[in-house]
Amino acid sequence: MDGLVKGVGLWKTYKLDVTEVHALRGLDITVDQGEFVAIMGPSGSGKSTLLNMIGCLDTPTKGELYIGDEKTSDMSDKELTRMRAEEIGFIFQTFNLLPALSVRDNVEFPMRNLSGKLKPNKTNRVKRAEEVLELVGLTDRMNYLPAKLSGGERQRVAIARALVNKPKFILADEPTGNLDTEATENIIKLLHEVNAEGNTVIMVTHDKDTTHDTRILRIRDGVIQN
Amino acid sequence: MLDIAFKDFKAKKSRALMCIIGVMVCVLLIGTVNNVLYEMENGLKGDLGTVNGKLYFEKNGTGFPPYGSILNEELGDEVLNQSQVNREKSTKALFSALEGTQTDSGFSIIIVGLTPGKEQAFIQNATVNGKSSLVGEADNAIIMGSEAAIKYNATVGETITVNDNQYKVIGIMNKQGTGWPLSIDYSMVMALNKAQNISSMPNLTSTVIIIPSSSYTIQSAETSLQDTYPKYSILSEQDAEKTIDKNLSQIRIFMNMINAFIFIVSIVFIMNVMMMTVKEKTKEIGTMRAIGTRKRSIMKLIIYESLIMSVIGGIIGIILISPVYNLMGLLMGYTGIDFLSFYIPPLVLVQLLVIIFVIGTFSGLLPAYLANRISPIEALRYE
Ligand SMILES: Nc1ncnc2c1ncn2[C@@H]1O[C@H](COP(=O)(O)OP(=O)(O)OP(=O)(O)O)[C@@H](O)[C@H]1O
Ligand SMILES: [Mg+2]
Repeated sequence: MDGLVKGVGLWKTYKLDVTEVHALRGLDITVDQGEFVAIMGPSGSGKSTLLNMIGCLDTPTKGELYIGDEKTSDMSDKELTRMRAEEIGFIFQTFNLLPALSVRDNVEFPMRNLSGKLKPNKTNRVKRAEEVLELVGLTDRMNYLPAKLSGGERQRVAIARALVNKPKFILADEPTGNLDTEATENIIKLLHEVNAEGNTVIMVTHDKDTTHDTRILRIRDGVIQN
Repeated sequence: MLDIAFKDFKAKKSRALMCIIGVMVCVLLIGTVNNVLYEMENGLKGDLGTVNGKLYFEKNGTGFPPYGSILNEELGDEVLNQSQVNREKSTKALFSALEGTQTDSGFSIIIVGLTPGKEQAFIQNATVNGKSSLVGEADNAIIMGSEAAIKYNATVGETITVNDNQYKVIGIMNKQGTGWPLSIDYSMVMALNKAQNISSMPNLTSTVIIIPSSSYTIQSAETSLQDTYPKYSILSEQDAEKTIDKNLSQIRIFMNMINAFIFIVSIVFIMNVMMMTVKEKTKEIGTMRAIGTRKRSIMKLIIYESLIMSVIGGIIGIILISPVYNLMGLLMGYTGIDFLSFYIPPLVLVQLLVIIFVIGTFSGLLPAYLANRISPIEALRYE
């Protein structure tokens, strides 16, 4: 089976005045549909850089990156924005919910980023948001503002938000980095449930305890080691 | 995006309040300035009515009202004897502002001395309570303009004292100006020799108010008199209009400079607040961009937010214009103001709506541009 995400010879080079920093050095990666992948590695090894690239937030300096059958490595900003809206679900370490919006509105929000036929009407958007919130077990918190929620609950909302557009895969950069042990377990369990439903999950983590039942990719100095 | 902009706006009440008050003050000030300008224009244009159908014979270079003009009475009599002039109706007239009689609205009381029996040449269409002719009245009889009567609290039949002189009020004119009062409303019409005494201008007159004789039109009388007296000015309604327009245009330029200043200050003000907002929301905007929000939507979000604030502030401002304007009138000593009446000239209203829209859009543009330069990767790193 062809990879859902396929990166070949990925380089990312930052120019700082005269010196060049190579965050990725010819990295190859393939992730298949339905996988749960954990990316591990020391600080500064290029994990976030890789994840941002797969998430269409960034493009490689050199190399080719495919998502499904679309080549994203030379897409324009506009096309990358569309890819992010339609194909990718993001989960962040710091949750990044929109503080002025209720839980329901936060989860409904990504559907506004869709365009044309893909964009449901308001009624269907709300219906879908509530459906996904039920999935993450937050039906009774729908009218809360994010500030009123615990960290674990916020990350659940973020997961619901990531799922709501039925993306090709979910990217999570240290999703449990700001959570205590119990909340961490719950979030990892939820991500596994989401994965069991057929969603592909790619997660960056520092915590070994979060990596059971996942394929671990070890990254060091901008290349994958195993 | 409008609903999201509205929620954002509600989440930051104090900031929003600042902007709203800013626009409100701007609209209120511009609205009031324009209202004053509008009424002034209306009023001064109304003054032309008192020139309608007649000519003012004056010293060259003076305008209307003919304060600066001084003529010998002999010259006046000579003019009255010209064939272009209807001798029965025309009159010599002395105009002089009474010193120390400034009213709260800045106008002085004007003495208008004319030959008794020819009051119509000046009073013309005004309805007079009491008598409208000085003929057979006491030497100190006067007919007062409405504002002058208000200032001295005068009633018909009473004797009033102005600058140590006593006058017998035999008639009071109805108000001639709509809104802004006219010169006629501030006048005290009296016999010419009395006016000459009071203003110490014996045998002098300011002007001859000329009603053309029946064989002449205003136009032909003006040309033909001008030919006879090339060194004097024959002022007609058109000339008066020009003088008034010239005076108005200076005021207009001044008022519009004030308006432009207020306008720019409020745009800069809201723009500043919106820039702070954008800076504050770097992480949020970055998050939105990361999960696929288009640049155009971000731009809409920012501009909608500044529009919401300027529309709310603007509407409050518009609602307040009328009461504030009335209050100003009250402080200036006008009576009979109806505080429940709400009036803004339609032209001024349209101007204000355009201003509100422009403030909202323009002050959002630069912040929106800045918001679009936020890189989602950088913003996600931002703590
Ligand atoms: N915009 C940038 N400009 C310059 N250098 C950068 C930039 N972004 C990342 N880097 C560098 O690239 C390297 C990889 O960074 P990256 O954030 O991918 O590391 P990471 O593996 O996610 O680390 P951590 O575990 O600490 O999050 C680092 O050396 C970093 O300093
Ligand atoms: Mg990182």
